[in-house]
Amino acid sequence: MMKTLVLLGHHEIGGQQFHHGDELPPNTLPAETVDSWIDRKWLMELDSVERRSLFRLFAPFSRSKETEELTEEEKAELCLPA
Amino acid sequence: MHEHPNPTITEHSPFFAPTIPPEQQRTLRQGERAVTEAASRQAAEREQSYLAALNGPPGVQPLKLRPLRQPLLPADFAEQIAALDEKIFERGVAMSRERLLSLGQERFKDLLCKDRAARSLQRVIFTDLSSWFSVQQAFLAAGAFATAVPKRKTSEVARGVGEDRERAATINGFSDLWKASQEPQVVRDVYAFHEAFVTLALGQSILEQLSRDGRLRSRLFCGGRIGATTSYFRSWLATLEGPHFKVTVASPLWHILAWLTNEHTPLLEPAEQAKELFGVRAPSRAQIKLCDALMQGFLLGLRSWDLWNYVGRVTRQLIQHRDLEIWCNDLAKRYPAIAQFHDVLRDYFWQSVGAGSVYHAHRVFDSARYHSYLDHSLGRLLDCVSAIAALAVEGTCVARFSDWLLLEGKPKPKLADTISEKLETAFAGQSFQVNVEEVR
Repeated sequence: MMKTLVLLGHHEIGGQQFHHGDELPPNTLPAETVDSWIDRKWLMELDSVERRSLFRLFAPFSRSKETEELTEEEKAELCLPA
Repeated sequence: MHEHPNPTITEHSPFFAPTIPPEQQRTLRQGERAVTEAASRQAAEREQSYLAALNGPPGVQPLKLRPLRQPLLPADFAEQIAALDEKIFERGVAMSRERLLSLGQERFKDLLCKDRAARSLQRVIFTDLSSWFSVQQAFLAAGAFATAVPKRKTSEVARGVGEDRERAATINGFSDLWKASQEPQVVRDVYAFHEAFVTLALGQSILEQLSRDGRLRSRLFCGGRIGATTSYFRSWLATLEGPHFKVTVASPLWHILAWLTNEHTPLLEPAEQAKELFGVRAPSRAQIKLCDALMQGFLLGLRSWDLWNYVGRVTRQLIQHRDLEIWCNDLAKRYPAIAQFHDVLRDYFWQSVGAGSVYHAHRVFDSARYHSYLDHSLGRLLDCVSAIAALAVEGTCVARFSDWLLLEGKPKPKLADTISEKLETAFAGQSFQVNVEEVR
């Protein structure tokens, strides 16, 4: 199952400001740093069932390499019919 | 010798009744009860038959619905439209992949900002703003999920009234969240996020379905009904490749109803209506939108809490039900032919229930069937309007929606007049206003 990383508190990563509750874009930090930040309670890891990653859902627009699908109901309701 | 008199023997009735065994007593009691019940049942049936005979048959013959007036169309109109839709599908809409990506990236940043804004207030703590279930749970946890709609009383349930109010009180999705009145700012923030999310989801599907020749082909462009997808498609018109223009028929639903009912009172523009309703000289956009939604709801035959629900969904405003009733009655007085049309049409959708039982036989209004019939019939006529307009400009039409057309190239002079003439021929007596506008 994919994980969504959520920042706790305000942080600056690579010159970019992140606010409390913001999603951390996938692959922004190395895995060891992520683990360390989770231990320090700077990051929270949620299952994609609990919180889907907007970066993965809209991968073409967010330039994320990882992707996540909308649900079938959402596709039927929101997407263009073929 | 004394002779003894004969003794007098008197038989006294026994002080205690003869002892009957308990089993026998039970059998006797059961027998008596069965006899009483049978007699009572027979009496009730006799009375029921008597009353039924006095009242006549409880079931009333349902009225036979006559078809609505139809526009004057050529005999092969259906074939023409099918051929046109096929051409529209094959032609596709020219869109620029680069512009789609660029606009999508810009909108994705905006989505993140809206996500942050919705979480910043912290009156309701959200987990996943894109999922209705998660948003619902967050509102429930904060105790902000209740609506201001009065609950249906037990007496109303027993009488079978107030069903529309109960329907209006439910919150079943993002489209109903405006009813949660405790945290209006949070609701506005959630809506801002949701709209950005829906727009991006559509944009992404456009990008995925865009062919290698730079053209987008979808059945949505062949007579798509008014809905979320068609309205959000407008927000991606900036990504069209080459010159395009839009053709919009102003207030098509009003013209159809006026033509069906021979309504002679001219349509009051929403801005003018807002001035009257609110007693102001410069009505706000929200007031104009409210008047427009009220008019649409009235034309669709919605009344009471169904109208409240419809207007609320369109405007996302909590309006006093009583005010809405007054405004709706004002509209009924202003447009008597349309009001009468709906009143008469409603008579066809009363149905008898509980037939055969004099105590339960009554008539109920089948609201669902009435609205389904109206939606279907008016939808077909709206499709006719769109199809006639599309046939008038056949060569360049790349998308046909029920209330507007998208055309490729530059508009020809007098195009609006040509479309108006065709529409006026089909819908005799109506003068349609057609607007032609270039897409920038």
